[in-house]
Amino acid sequence: MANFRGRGSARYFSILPAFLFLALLSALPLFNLFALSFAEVSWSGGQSTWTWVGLNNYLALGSDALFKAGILNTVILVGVATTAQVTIGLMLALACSRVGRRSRIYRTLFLLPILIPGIIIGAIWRLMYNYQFGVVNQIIDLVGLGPVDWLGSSSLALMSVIIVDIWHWTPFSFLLLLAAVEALPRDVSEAAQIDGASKWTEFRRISLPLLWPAIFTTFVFRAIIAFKVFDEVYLLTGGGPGTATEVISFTIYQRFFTQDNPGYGSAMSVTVIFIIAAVIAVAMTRQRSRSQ
Amino acid sequence: MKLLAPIYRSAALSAMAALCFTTASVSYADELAPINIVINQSPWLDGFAGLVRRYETETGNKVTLDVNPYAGSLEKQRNAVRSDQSEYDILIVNGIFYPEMYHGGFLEPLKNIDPDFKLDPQIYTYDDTVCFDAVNKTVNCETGDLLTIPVNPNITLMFYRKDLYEQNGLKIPETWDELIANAKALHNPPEMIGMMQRSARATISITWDYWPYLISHGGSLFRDEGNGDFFITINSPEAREALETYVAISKEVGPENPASMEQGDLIQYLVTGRAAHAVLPAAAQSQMDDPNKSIVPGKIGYMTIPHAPGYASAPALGHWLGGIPKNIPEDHKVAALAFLDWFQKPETQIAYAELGGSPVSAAAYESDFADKPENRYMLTMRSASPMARRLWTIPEGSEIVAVLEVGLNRVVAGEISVVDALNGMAAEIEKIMVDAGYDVGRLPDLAN
Repeated sequence: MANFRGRGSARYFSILPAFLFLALLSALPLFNLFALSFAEVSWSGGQSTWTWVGLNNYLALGSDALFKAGILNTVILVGVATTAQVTIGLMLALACSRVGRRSRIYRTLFLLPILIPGIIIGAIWRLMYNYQFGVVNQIIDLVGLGPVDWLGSSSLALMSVIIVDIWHWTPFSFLLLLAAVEALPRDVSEAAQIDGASKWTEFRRISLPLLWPAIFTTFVFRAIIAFKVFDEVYLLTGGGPGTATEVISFTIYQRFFTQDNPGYGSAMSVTVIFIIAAVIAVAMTRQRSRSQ
Repeated sequence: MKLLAPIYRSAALSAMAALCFTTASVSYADELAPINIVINQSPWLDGFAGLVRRYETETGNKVTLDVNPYAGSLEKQRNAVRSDQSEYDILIVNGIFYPEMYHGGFLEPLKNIDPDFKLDPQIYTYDDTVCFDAVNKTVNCETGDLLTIPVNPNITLMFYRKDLYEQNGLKIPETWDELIANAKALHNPPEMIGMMQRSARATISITWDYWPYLISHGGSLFRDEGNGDFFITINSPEAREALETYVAISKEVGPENPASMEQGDLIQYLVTGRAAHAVLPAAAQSQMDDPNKSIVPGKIGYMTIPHAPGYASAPALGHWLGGIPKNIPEDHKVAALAFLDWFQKPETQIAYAELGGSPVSAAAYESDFADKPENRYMLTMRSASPMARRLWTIPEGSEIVAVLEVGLNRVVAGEISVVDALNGMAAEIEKIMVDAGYDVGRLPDLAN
C-alpha cells in the first residue's frame, strides 16, 4: 500500500480505464454535438452528408422567434418554480424535523410526487386542468367562479405548467434541505433560546445562515434540472397556445427531430449548455467569495 | 415382435407426419419471412390491426405492428432508413413526410422487387402521391416509379349533427358563409358548440385544418408547385381571407379555448353530443356510431368541406402510404410486397371497411357495403376523394409545417394578427427554401 501511494504514475494509470470510459460516455457525444453544430446534415441515397456551414447555425439563433420565446419562458419557469420549490421545501423540512417519530409518514407523503413517472404526471394534471370536467374547475365552480381554461389561455398556460413543476419537484428540495436541517447543531439553537431569542430570531440569525450553503446548493441543482424541463410541457401544452409555454428543451426537440435539422438543433443545444455552464460558474464564484 | 409392429407403424407414421410438417414449415418460411410494420396510433389503427390478423390467419405469415405516437413513428422511420439495415419491412408514412422518404431515395420501387407487380386499378393514387419521378423530383405516376401503396385515405370530412339539421330545417352548406350561418343557429355554449376545429399546435394539426380554407379561397403555399415554381404565396390576399374566415369561425361559433383543441377533443365533443360540426379525418367515423363510445349513435352525418364562392371544395389529404425500405434483406422485401399486394385486393379493401378501417379502393366505396346506413360516411368519401388536395411534395415540408403550426396557432390564440402571421410565415418559409437551395422569392408583405 505504501509503495502504491509513493508511485504517482501508477496511480494515474490505475484510473485511466475509468477515465477513458467516462470520456467515451460523455465527452465524445458532446464533441460530436459541437462538431455537428457547424454543419448541415442531409441524407440521400442511404448516405449522410455533412456540409460545413461555419457559424451560420449560431447566427440564425438571433432571428429565431421560437428560440427567443423558449429562452424567455424557460428563465421565467426556472426562476419562479425553483424559488417556490426551495421555499416550500425548506418550510416542509423545518416542519418535518420537529414532529419527532411521525415525521416518517410525512416524509413518505411529501416524496410521493417525485416518484411518479412524468408521463403519469402529465396525464393526471391534464385531466385535472380539463376545461370541461377537470377537478380544478369543479372546485372553483363550487365557490361560484366560472370555468378557467388553464392550459388553453395564453396568459395562464405557463403558470399552470409552473404549478405542476412545483408540485412535481418540491420533494427534491425537501429531501436535500431536510438532511441539512437535521444536521444543524442543536446546542447553538438551545443556547440562543436560553439567551431569550424568539423562535423567529433564532431561525433568522442562526438556522438560516447555517443552512445557507445547503439552500444555495439546492437552488443551483434544482435550477439546472428545471432548465431541462421537457416532459411537462410536451404532455400538457405542446408549447402552446402560441408560444406561451415554449421552453428551450422543447424548441431543441422540434428543431432537432421533428424538423430534422440536427445541425441547427446542435447549435441550439451547445448554446444552452454554455448558458447553463456560465450560470453555474457565476453562481459558484459568488458563493465562494461569499463564504470567504 | 408382432405385438410391437403397430407401435412401430404408428411411430413411423408420426415421424413421417412430423417430417412433412417440418418440411412444409421450412419451405413456407423460406417463401415469406416474418415482417415488421411501423405505424402510428390513429383512429383507424383498429381496422388495420384487424386486417393484419386476418392476413396472418389466411397466409400463416407473421406480421408485427410497432405502434407509436405520430412523432415517434416518424423518428423510428427516419432512424430505420438511415441505418445499415432497417428493422422495419414496411413503413406507414404520413402524407406530410413521405417527400423526404422519396427524395432521400430510401424506398424500394415496388417493381424492383417484383417486375410483374401492378397497382390494382381500383386503388386511388391520391394526387399521384404513390409514385415518384426521381429524375424530375416530382410525384407523377406517368413518369415515375411506384414507391408506395396507400394504406389510409385520411381525407377530412365535415362531421355534423344530422338530427339537429332535420329538427331545425337546415340545408347542407356549400360555402363557408352558409356553414357559419348554420353553426350560429346551433351554437349554444357550453351545451352545444357550433363548430369545432383543431387549432392546437402539434407536429401537424392546425395546418391540416386550415388547408381546405386556404385552397378553397384560391390561395396556395407556392405559386405552382406541380411545375416546380416554389415562389411563396402564403401571404396572398386569398390566404388572408381564408385565415380570417378560419379565425372568425373559431371565435364566433367555436369553443372558449379554440387554440388548444386537438383531434381527441373534437371527437370527445362530438360523441358527448356537445358539438354541431367538426372537421375530422374520415377514419374518426368509427367512433361515432359505437354506443360504447358515443351518446349520439346514428345522429352524425358527413358532408364535404365547404368552399368560398367560385372555388371547389378542397379536403386536405393527410393520407398514409405503405412503403418498403431499400435497406432490408431481399426475402423481407418479398414478404412485405406480398402483404401490400394482399392489402390492395378489392376483397381485402371491403373487409378493411367492415373492420372499421378507411379503404383506399373504389371497390370498397362502390360496394353494397357502402350503401348501408351505418356506412353513410363512405358515400361522402366517394364524392370527396377526387377533390382531396395534397399539401406539399418537397422534403422541406417538415420544416415548413413547424412554421405554419406556430404561426397559425398564435393567430387563434390571439398573440398576433392575421396579417403579421402570414407575413412572418412567408418570410420564414422563404428562408427555409433559400437555405435548401431553391431560387425563390415571396409576395410583398400584406398591409394591415
